[in-house]
Amino acid sequence: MALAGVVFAVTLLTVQVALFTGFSNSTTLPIAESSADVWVSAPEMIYFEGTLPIDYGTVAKIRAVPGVARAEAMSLGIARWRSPHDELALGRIIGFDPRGTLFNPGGANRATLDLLQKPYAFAVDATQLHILDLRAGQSGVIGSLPAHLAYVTRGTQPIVSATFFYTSLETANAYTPSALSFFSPPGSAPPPLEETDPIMYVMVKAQSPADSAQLAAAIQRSVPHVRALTRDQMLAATRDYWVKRTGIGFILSLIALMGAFVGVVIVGQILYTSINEHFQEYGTLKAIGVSDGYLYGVIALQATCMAVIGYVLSLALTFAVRGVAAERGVDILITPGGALLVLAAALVICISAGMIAMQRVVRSDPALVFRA
Amino acid sequence: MLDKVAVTVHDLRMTYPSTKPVHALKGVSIDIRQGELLLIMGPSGSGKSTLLSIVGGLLTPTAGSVVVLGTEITRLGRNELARFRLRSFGYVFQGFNLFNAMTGAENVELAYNVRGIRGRRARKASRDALAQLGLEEQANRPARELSGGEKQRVAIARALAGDPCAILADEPTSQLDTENGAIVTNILSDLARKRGTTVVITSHDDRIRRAAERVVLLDDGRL
Repeated sequence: MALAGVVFAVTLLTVQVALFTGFSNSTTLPIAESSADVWVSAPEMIYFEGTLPIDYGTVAKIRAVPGVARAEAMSLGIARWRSPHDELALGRIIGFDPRGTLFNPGGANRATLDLLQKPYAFAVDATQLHILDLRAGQSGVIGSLPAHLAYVTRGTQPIVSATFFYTSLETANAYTPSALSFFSPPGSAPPPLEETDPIMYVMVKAQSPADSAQLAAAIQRSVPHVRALTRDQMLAATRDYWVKRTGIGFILSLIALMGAFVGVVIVGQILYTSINEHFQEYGTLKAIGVSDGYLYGVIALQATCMAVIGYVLSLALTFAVRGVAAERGVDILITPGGALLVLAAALVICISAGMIAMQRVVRSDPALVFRA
Repeated sequence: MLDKVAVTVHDLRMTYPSTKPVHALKGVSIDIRQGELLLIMGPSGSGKSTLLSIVGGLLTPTAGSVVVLGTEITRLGRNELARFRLRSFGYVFQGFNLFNAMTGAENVELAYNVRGIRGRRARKASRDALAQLGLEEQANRPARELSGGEKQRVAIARALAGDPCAILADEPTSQLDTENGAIVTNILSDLARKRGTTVVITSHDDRIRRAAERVVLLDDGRL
C-alpha cells in the first residue's frame, strides 16, 4: 500500500517534470531540427516565431563573411488553410531550401526532401493531420493557392504553435499574402526569390563550429541591421520566451511545482502512517537499546528502497503515458537529466519524510512497550 | 552464584506527573542476586511494570537509585543508558513484540545484528538459540504464523542474544495456554538455574510462583 502511494506520487512528479521538459524542448523544435551553428535575424527578434523580416539579399552578404561555410534562408509566414472538406485552420508556413543541408524537418532522406521542390508541395507533422482534416495524398488550399501534402513528418510540431507547413522558399513566398507572387495565376510555378523578398532567418554553418560565437560576432559586425545568435543562444531565447514570458510556461512550471509539493505531502503521509503502524516494532528496538542512529538508518534504508522501486515503476508508467500523449502531439520528454532530477527528488522526499515520521519513535518513551 | 548481588534498588520513587500526580512507587528497596529468578507480584496498578521498567533502564525514576553490576544506571544519560540496555538486558514482553513479517530466525538474528554480530555468525547463533528452545523446525516460518508459545520462545531466544546479565519479563505467560505457559516457565527457570542469568518477572501465574526462588509482593507502590 505504501509502495503504491509512493509510485503514485513519484509518477505524478515524473509526468509533471517530463511534461514541462517536453514542452520546453518542443518550443525549440525548428531550431533543433537545423544543423546551423549561427542564426541571423532582424535585430527585433525575441523568439523563433516572434521576429521581423529581413531581405533575401542578406543571405549573399552573409556568405561573404569569412568563416561562413554555408548560409541558407528560412522564411516564416501565416497560413490560412482550407481542407478538402472546406474546414478552416490557421498555421505557420516555414520555407526553406529542400536542396540545402541546414534544415531537414523530421530527418527525411534526400528523395523525400526533393518532393518539396514541386510547386505548392508541403510536409506536415503526423499529429496535425486531424487538425487539418487531411489524409496522406490529399490536397487543400492555403490562401487561394493549392497545397499538396508531399510527406508526413514526425516529432516536428511544437505543442504551443499553430500547425507548421514545411515547404520550399518559393512556395512559402507565394503563400505569403504580401508577396507579389500572390498575384501569380493559379497553376503556375512560384517564381524564385529576389533579393528584396522577405525571409525571416539565415541559417549559417561555420567552417569551424567551435568558433560559432566569434562567427556570430563577425556577422553582426559585417552585416548591418541584423542580429546573429549562436545555436545555443537561439535555443535559449526561444525556450526562455515560452517558459518565462508566457502563461503556458508559468502554468506548466506551477503544475510541476505542485506535483512536487503534492508528492512530498503524499509520501510524507504514507511513510508517517507506515511508521505509526509499525510503532511497536520500532519501539521494541528502542527498548532493546538500539541507538537513534540505527533507527534512522533503518528508516533511511526503507525510504531509499521505496523511492528507488517507486521511481522505477513510475518511469514505466510515465513511458506508457508518453506513448498515448505522443499520438496527440504532446511530448512527455524524459531526459537523463530530468530522470536523475526526479530520482533525486524521490530520494529526498522519501528520506526526509521518513526522518520526520521517525521523530515520534525516537522521542517516545522506551518503557511504552512494557505498558502496551 | 546466588550470593552475588546483580541489581541493587534503593529507595526508588516514581511519580507520573498529571493534574493529579500518580505515585507509582513509594520508596522501593531490594537486592536481586545473580542467577536468581525473582517474581514480582501484586494487583493491577500496584507499580509492577513501573518497577520492572526502571530496573531495566527503560524509565528514569523520580528519586532513588538502581545499581546493576556496579553501574548506577539511574545516573546514566539517555544514550549511555540505551547502550547499557543493549549490553546487559534482555526483555520478554507480554505481547511478544516480534517483527511479524520476519521469520523466527530473522527476529533473533536482528537482535545479534544490533549488537554488531552479523552475517554467518549471527545466523548460526540465532539457529543455535532457537534449537536450544526446541524451535529448529519453526525457525524459518514467519513470526505471524507461529503459535503464542512459539512466539514467546522466539522472544526469549531474542532476549538471550548478546548473553545479557539479566532477563526482564513482563507477564510472559499471560497470553499463553497452560501447556505453553509451563514450557515458557521452565525455560525461564532453567535460564536462572543453569545459565546463572538473573531473571526478573512480573506475573500472576502460579506456575512461575512455584518456580521462583523469591516472590515479592508490591502493593500500592510499596514492597
